[in-house]
Amino acid sequence: MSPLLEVRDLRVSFDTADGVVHAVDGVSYSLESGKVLGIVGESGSGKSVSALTMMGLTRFQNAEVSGEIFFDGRDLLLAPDDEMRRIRGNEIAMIFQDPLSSLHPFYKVGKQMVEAIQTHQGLSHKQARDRAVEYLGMVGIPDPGRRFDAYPHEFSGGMRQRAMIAMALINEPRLLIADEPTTALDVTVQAQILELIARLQTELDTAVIMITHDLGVVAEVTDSIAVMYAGRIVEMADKREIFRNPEHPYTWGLLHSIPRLDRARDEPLVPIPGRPPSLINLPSGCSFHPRCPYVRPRHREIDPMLEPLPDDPNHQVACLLASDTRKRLWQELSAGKQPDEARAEVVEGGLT
Amino acid sequence: MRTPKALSAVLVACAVALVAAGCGGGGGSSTSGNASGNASSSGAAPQFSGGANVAANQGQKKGGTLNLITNEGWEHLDPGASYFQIDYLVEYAVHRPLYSYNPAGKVMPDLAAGPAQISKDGKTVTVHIKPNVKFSPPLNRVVTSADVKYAFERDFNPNVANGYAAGYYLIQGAANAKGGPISGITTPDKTTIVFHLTKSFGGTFVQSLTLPGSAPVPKELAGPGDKKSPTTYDTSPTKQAFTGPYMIKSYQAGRSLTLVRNPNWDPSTDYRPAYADKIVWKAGADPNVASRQTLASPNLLMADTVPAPVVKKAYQSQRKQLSVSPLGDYYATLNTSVPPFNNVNLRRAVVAAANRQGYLLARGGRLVGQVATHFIGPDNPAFKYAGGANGFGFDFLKNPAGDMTVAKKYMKAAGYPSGKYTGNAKVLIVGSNADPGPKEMQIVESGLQALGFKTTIKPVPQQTMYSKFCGYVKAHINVCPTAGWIPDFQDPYSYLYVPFSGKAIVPVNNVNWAVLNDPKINAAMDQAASITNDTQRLKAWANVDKMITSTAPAIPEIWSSNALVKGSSVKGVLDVWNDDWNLSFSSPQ
Amino acid sequence: MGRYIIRRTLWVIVLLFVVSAVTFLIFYTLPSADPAVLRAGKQPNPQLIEQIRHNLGLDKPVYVQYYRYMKGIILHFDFGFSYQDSQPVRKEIFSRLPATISLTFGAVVVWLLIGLPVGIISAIRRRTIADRVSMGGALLAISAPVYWLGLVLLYLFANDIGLVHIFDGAGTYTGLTADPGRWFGSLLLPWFALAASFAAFYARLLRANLIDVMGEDYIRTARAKGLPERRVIGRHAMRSAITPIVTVLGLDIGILLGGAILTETVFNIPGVGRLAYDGIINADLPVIQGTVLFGALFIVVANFIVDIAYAFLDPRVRYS
Repeated sequence: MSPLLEVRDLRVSFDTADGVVHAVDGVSYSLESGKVLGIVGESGSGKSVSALTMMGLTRFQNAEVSGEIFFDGRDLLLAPDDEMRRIRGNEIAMIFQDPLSSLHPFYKVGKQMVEAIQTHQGLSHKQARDRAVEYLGMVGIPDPGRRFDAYPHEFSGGMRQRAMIAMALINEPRLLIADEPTTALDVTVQAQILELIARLQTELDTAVIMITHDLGVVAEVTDSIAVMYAGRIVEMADKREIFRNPEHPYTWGLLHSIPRLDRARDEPLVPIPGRPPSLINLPSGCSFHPRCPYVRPRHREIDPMLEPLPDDPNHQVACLLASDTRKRLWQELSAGKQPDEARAEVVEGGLT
Repeated sequence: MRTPKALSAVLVACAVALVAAGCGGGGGSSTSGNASGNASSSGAAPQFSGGANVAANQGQKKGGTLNLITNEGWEHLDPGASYFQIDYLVEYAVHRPLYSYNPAGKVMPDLAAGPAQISKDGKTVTVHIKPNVKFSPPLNRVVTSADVKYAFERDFNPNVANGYAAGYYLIQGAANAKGGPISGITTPDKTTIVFHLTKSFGGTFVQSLTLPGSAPVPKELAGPGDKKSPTTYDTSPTKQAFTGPYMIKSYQAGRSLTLVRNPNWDPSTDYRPAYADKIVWKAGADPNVASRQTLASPNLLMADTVPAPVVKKAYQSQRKQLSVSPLGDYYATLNTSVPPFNNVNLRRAVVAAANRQGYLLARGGRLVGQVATHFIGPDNPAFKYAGGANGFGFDFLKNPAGDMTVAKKYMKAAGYPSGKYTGNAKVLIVGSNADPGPKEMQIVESGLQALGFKTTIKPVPQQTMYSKFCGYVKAHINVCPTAGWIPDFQDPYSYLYVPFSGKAIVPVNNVNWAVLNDPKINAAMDQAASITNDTQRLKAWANVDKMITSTAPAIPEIWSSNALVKGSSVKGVLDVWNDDWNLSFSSPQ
Repeated sequence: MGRYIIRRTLWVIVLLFVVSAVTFLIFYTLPSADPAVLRAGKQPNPQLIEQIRHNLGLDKPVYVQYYRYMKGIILHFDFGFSYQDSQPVRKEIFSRLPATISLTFGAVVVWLLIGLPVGIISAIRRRTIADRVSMGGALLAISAPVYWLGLVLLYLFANDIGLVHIFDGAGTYTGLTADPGRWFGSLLLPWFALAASFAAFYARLLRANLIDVMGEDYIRTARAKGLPERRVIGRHAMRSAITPIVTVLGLDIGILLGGAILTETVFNIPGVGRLAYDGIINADLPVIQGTVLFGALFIVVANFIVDIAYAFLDPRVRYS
């Protein structure tokens, strides 16, 4: 059986006044029904753009798109606008980062949900309303019959995101894309929302793409994780593999920039030095090389490919360091060494 | 008269605003031809004239609707308050004063049965009125001398606020009457009214009876409203009692006016033919649009000022619809009461040095008039006795472009042998800051500087010029170059008395800007005003004009003209004295 | 809301008092014609002037005059009499309101019918020829003075002085109740002349608003729901883009009801603006004062209505 979603060599670029922005630069992955894929990366890494392209929403921004996105056997990139519109919100739905700005401030929440239902299903207003109330209840909004008539600004942040989720799921989509669904929320609410997504995903058997810059978020709910950097996937594996045996220095950086309960309190968090690269003028060679603590001269010339590890074909990584070196570096880092110490120990010790 | 709206020194204001704001009217070329004929011989540019037939008899027919259009609206349609050119068009169609002018400018007995009888001493005037003139419905009664008496009483009522009564109706006991009975007016019987004057003024007084203030007003109708300020007889003109051929049927202030025939009007008692059945007048039009509409129409009459570009266009291609005739004059006053211009020869030198041709160009060239050589203009019957366009032949007025040789001669006579002024006095020139005021100030200044005067120019808003400078005697302004004057009626008294008589000087809102107070001239004016014989009086006034011109209290700038336009087939008849259409003589076909 | 309305109404009254007081002060501070002399005419007889001054109450101090004026308005709704033509100011204003209202609301319809579609098309076809032509035209229309435009329209299309005789020209205004057909015909050119710059301004404003709104997250949400683009623009984007326009519209209507002076003058429409203009030209205080107060009233009431309307348009706005 073929996967529900298969993305092959997706490239998206925008022609702007400053130059051509290569937002997504050759991304491939697949996702099966009922599974959750986490896409992790800093802002500007192309994770949101790839999702929006899947929804056909980059078509409104004069994007240059190539590659293939097979959804249930159809190539979405070749689908006419009208067909894409029927898929959007119906078969593929999306939740956005800021629920306050993502809900129309002038329309009642219930009305916006009813609109979503009636766009795709021939339900009467009464039926649509009942369904909307039911979903509001399902996402945990108390007294949903009354809240149906409330405006977005009358909800708390968490409630708004619950309403967004209810609205996204209301047509029972086969794929849900959650774009930073918890970023705008405070921590306790974050956990509730993630729990809710996990629960509904199981109940409804929906495939989910969870886009986030926060590995902590994906740790809770995903099956597999793709790490994106500068428009590309630099590492992709099962969640467990990513957390236990990450192979890419960028992934290491991400892991060390989140606080963990299983580490000592006084152990310093190590932010990734430098800033994300410009997507107009990408660095030569490995695009991570300007920020990589373990960079070698040739890394500035050779562009690494995303390749499966010799010992684990499901674990793919795009790094020019030798697999052994990477494993040893990770050991040093896991043992509490700082990147500089680890480099001194491993890379400058003669190994490559 | 012919006041523009809302200017403090009403007459002067009007004249100053003549070209720009539209107080003036136009006139028939036929009547002004004699005046302009000699103009070129004095060196002035030939006068501009239109080609429309505006004579009294053009084969008009009875019936139809006469249509008028104006930019300005009406001010006061109460015969006691009316003092504005376009109001007069209505007044003389709906009211009958004791006397009125026919289109050619001849005094006609109107409500009066015949000429007034003036006593030998000129202090008593007796008028008999027609016995069979009736007020319009719903009053429907015969007019009596008591109605005329009441009209005069209310002319002095502040609630009516007549603008000229105090100046012309020099009747005993009138000045303090405030609307009550006036001892100097008696009505021996129902058709006789006698006026006892405060001085020998009869001949001039009779001329002033052509103003609407002498039209009868029934006390039973107007009396109650006259106790209010302003009187309701003015605020609701449709409710007046009319004696003329027309009645005011509807009136919307500033917008529209409809006149219909007065059923009680008896043509056998009137010299007016009253051709049109109905007269419809729309006000408030943009002058550019209205004048073009009039030229494009068959039947419109435009009753106020035509903008210069449209006058030019009409002159080039529709001359048969354009009428131009003289109206009033412009001059630059020299203050005779303070140095340096309390010296008559110095004033003559300034007049000689002045480029009067330049004034004409500054005001708009021959579109607007001709260079003046004295003060009474071609619109007045005394003009021909005052030397016509050539004037009195004074050498300091001979060259319209200015003559420095003559100027130097008078400088010497004034005690400045070098021909340059060497005294200490500085000359302050105050004028309107609105075009063409600044240009006129510069022209007079360059003449003064050529004679060695130190000058300062002060352009101010027109209102301020009247209230704080030129019209305020204590301000002692040396030169006011933007003065002008339009007479109230055909008698030269109304041309010269107020601007140049020492007796007319008042501390504020003064009109005698030259502050000329020459006992000889004052006496000559009083003498002229007291003459009962019309021709003799005109000649006497021509002589007064000569005396004034000789003492040079002002530089005569131009005798102005105004243009009127009409539709292609309407028969418009011009009232020469008012320089505007006569509604009772004009006809739609 | 009730309390808010009461508070605002009180403010309106205070504001009108301030406006009237300021107008009074300006009139008496700046040099201008003496109304008594205005009425008395040329050879000013001091006694007559004094008498008129007394009758008009001009011999009293300014604050007494002001007190009397306001008393007249409050007790009798009496705005006094014009110095110029003795007409009661209230009657003059009320009799001229229908013309001004006809001119204003007709022009509003015209400029919305032109401005809004042009603005929408320009926004969604941004940087196309249609957009550039529309916005270029709008810039011209905004720059064209209404007086000039009015004359041009008349010289081109009026059935008396026009190059081609199509529309009723100046001075043909007829009341709606008198003859609806002529009313409509006589107002067509004035509506277009008055509406041109507004249509242009509204088109530009709507275009800018719409482009802004189209970048909002909730528009992305609407699209993500699979709504047809027509509905995304027509409902979701327009609803937000039009709200600030309603504010401007309310104020524009308020201002124009105070009198569209130039349009009324060119086309000789007997409206309040023309009355105000004549009042100013003639230094006719009661007319100036009356028209200024009415103009101010329209503007503050329009402001008030706009604020209330805003609460209905934008559920986030609440007054208390």
